Amino acid sequence: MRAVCWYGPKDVRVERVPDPQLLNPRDAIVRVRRTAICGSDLHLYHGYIPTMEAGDILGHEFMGEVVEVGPEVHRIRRGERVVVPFAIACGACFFCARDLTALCDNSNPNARAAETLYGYSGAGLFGYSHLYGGYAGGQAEYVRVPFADVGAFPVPETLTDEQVLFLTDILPTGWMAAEHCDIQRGDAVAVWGCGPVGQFAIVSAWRLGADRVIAIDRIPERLEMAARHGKAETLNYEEVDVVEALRDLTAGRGPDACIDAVGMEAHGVTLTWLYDRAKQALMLETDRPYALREAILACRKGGTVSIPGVYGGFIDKAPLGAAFAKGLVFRMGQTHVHRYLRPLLDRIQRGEIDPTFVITHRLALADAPGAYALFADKQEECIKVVLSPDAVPATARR
Amino acid sequence: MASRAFALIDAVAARRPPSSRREANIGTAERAAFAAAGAVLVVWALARRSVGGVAAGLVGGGLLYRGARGRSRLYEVVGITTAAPTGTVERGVAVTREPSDVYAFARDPRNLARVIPHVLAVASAHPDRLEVVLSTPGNGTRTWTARIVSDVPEEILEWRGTDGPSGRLMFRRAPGQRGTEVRLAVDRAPAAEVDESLRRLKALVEAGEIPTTGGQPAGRVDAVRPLRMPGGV
Repeated sequence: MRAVCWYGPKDVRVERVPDPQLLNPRDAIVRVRRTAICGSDLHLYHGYIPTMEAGDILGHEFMGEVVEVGPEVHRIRRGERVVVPFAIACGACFFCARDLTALCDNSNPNARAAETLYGYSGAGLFGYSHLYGGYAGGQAEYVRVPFADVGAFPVPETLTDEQVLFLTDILPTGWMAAEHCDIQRGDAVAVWGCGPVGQFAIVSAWRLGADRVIAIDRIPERLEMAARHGKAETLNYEEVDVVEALRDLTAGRGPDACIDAVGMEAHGVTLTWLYDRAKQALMLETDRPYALREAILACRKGGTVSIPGVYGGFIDKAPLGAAFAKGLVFRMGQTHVHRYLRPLLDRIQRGEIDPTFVITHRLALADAPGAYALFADKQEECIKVVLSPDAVPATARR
Repeated sequence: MASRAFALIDAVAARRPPSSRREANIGTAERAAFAAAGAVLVVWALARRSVGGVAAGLVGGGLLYRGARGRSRLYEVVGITTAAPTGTVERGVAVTREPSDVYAFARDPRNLARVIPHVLAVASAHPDRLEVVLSTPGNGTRTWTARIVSDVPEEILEWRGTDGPSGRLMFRRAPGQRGTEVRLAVDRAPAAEVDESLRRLKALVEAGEIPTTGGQPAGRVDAVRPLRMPGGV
């Protein structure tokens, strides 16, 4: 089959590789119909996530058709159209039993390595480094799905592939970020980062009862999408001092909840940002927490900082004193997609949310290397790329 | 002689508070080499009495300490140990199932073969005796016999190895709805293998299989190598 393989920073290629096989009794093989490039894939693309190996197959947002099931798969059948959460969960451990599926105890074959770095290991993830299990990802024609009865969700005929694709990650991630804010009547929610997760966090914050949603970015088309589709007030951090502007907008209170939908590769405009760039380049710090620092400083006393943006290692100059003095609540982590998938599927079916609005580029799987560059450099107003294995590549169309 | 001296140092170190107590992770020959090199440098430095001498003295002292303590911070960070396992390694894991289920699983010889690293098969000719076939480096096999000396359902399963390690599995109901706490203690076993046995036991009992990526596709010639683990399991 063809698959998108990682070979090093800014080096992804579409390669011919062997088809995946059933390796365990609870596995299924899915023929991929649609797959997407996630913002967190860019952390791999830029080489910030450790334990990638040349040739690893990328991709954790994918949906498709079940073509083969193992002997211990009982609920999912061949021919079913399914979406697959990006975290792999056994469905039986302490954490799965509590709907904390991204923390599954039994899905990371390299749990020891993760324990060395993090103390304990979370779930294995598709296509997201050997630290997270080393599973081959879904930016491919076929993918092996472990624990298929838990990790493959059949979708109704009435919905298109694109409508359900983002249930794998970014829609539940935006939703969980907003849910973590514990939104009360009258609350103002500020969202750093207007990429796809930020856009879905904005939509979710409204659905969960926010009184105001304020979106922060610097890319014009992303701010425009947040304003036009998300009905958010917008701040361009290259034009205003965000902390001051938020204080002003909320009559001196500060936002009740702040969502960092940026993560470890934040951009900024001050000396602190240059400091982070330099330290990251010298490997003195692994993550650049520019958005997180602003979120902590801007948040009102007793408010919540919700972090859906990915962090992988260590941060510097985190204003923990401000967080402590203001009694902030922190909520974070990989999304427990399994918990949100069916309720959000219902909302899509009822027409409350149409996640396809974030898509700006529809390309063929073979176009992946160019698509990664396009997305990474935010060329052509790129916000979200969807890849189809069976589409004709742009290079062939020309 | 060196090994006896090191054993004494280790014994003294073991009497320190638990937080500072660490097992040796450098093998005996290596410890002797570090200690000797360190001693030579220190003696040479004392004779010199110059800036270079002070530097050499510091380096020598460091090597001497490293050899005597038998513990390398560098080895610890990268997960290397060149010391032969000594004493008993005991580890615990929580399994989200009833003690009766976990005990029944552990009592079945076929399951033990799936759980213990390097074990190819476990046969039980007699209820109190297990014959364990191990793979040895270079595609060989070796058999050892374990006699079960204590078997209290849902509490303990203890064995004596005739030509292999002795040990015991202990079961205790965990608080709340947390299932069973399983503890495994094995004599002269590498800690990494004890950890790996418990991890596999937990995965098999809870999830019915051991997670793997062995044999999956990748865009490289050697298909897929598992990530190299500290301790080499």
